Amino acid sequence: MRNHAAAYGLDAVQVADPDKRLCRLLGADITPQGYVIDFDSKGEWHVRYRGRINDLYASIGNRRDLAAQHEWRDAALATISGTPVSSDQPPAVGCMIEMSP
Amino acid sequence: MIHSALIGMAFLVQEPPPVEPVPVPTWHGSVSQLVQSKCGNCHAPDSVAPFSLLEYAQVKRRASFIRHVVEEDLMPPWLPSGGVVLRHSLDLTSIERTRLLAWLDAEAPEGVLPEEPSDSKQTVMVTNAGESLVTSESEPTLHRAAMRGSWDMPAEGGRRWFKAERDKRTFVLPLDNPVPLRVQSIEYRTSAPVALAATALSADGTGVARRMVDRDEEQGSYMMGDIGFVAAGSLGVVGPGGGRLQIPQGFHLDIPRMADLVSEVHFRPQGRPWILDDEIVIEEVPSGSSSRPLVPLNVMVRKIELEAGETARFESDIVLPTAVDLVAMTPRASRRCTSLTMTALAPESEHSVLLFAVDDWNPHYRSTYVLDEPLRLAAGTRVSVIWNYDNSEANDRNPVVPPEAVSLGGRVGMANMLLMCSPADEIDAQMLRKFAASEVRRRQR
Repeated sequence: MRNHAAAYGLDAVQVADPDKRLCRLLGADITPQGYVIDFDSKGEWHVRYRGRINDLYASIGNRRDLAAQHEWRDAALATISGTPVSSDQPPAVGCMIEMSP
Repeated sequence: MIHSALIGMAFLVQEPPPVEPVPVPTWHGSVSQLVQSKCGNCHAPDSVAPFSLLEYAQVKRRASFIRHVVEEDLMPPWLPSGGVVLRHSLDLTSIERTRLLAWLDAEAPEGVLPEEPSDSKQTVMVTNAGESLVTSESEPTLHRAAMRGSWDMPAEGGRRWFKAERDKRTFVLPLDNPVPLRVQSIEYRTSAPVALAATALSADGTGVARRMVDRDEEQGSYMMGDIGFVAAGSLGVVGPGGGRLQIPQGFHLDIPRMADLVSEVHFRPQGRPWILDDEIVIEEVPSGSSSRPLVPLNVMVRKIELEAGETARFESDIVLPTAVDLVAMTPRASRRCTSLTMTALAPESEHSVLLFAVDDWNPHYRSTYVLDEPLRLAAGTRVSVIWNYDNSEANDRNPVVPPEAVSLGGRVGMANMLLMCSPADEIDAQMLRKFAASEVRRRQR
């Protein structure tokens, strides 16, 4: 993971999930998949967004030139600013996460 | 009442004879060989595909995903969907597909490794083209050509980069051959298999490609790999991830003396930089063996113009001036092309024969397709190619969303089918080369 992060210039916090506990908790089935999770004042968490990061890939293997829609980022910005998150949450495009052991 | 009537009827039906249960396929029984031959060329360490599928555990842990991509026909990637029988097909036969799905249904049993006498173990190297390299007694003569310096592939694309679908870069690899070569096979070795889609190879004995590339400050050139009246890919196309193009025995590709090999690389930015430093290995036809030259005939559409959202059909044909054996063919079209077909109409015949079809075109997976058996086409045969284009958002491969109007024009065509033809003798070969050049010129008017 360290090598991967270095090669791709990722500087966000990374959490390994070898037993897929986090995947199960969130219902993640495709990788990559974007989530926006909001914690309210009582400490309860709510999934505000679950879906594709952007529209760079139209389908598996079919990459556009540039992403035009950035649903994940938009959902994060909406959550931060306290405005409603769009209900248009297109599914993620990528490899399936295997849930069986 | 109805319920009991149905039960009563069911008793009248004769019990079927006992059926032998179909044995569940196992990994060691038959599935490992199937997966390795159809998936393992790309899904191997340091190869083009993102994960390996060589070992049982690697395949089992991706069982649902494998089911999904097989059921959806996303994998294995093999473009031809109709026409003549081709070599090295990655297509799953219906038996193979049924077997693989039955194995997955049964939760992918491993089975037992068949007992094998340990001294009969053979090491067979499998290339990306699926060709087994068996070392013969007399070593073939190999020639190597390398890029004149490495090139830093950018991590990301962008408008500037992809304008006119410029996810391509052309490189010159000097061969420095003092005499012309008869080529039996071409192997393309890349330092960036994950990022390399197809590469279209040509040979240039005129120095034109070198001058074009030398004008650019960086290694390589933005220009396409077309040379004069010769389209990029006139030697052949290999990909993805590099690999080997094997010309059937008895035929060869010509490379002029002191040639530069020209590689038009189609790449895909990977979100991280890659260093491209590639090499080509040419295998000569053994001296003393006779072989017939392959002459590329270019069936082409010179200009592609599409409004945003437009779907259109482009057609081109060529009438063979002499009888030829069709040995291989190389389609070329952009990502806005969705399907293509090639048919042949023999002289004085009323019915066209389907030679080649791709019903879901994807330039990422394109390559040169070699016929299982060369096909004789009579003089006067009309070979027609139809390309269907879709510049709407419905085309998943449309690189630009929302769609934009495109106007693309090339000297040797924007949509092509390069027919690798072998005429009967050297006199016909010379005539065919002249014809090929004049056909390209004619279409430019």
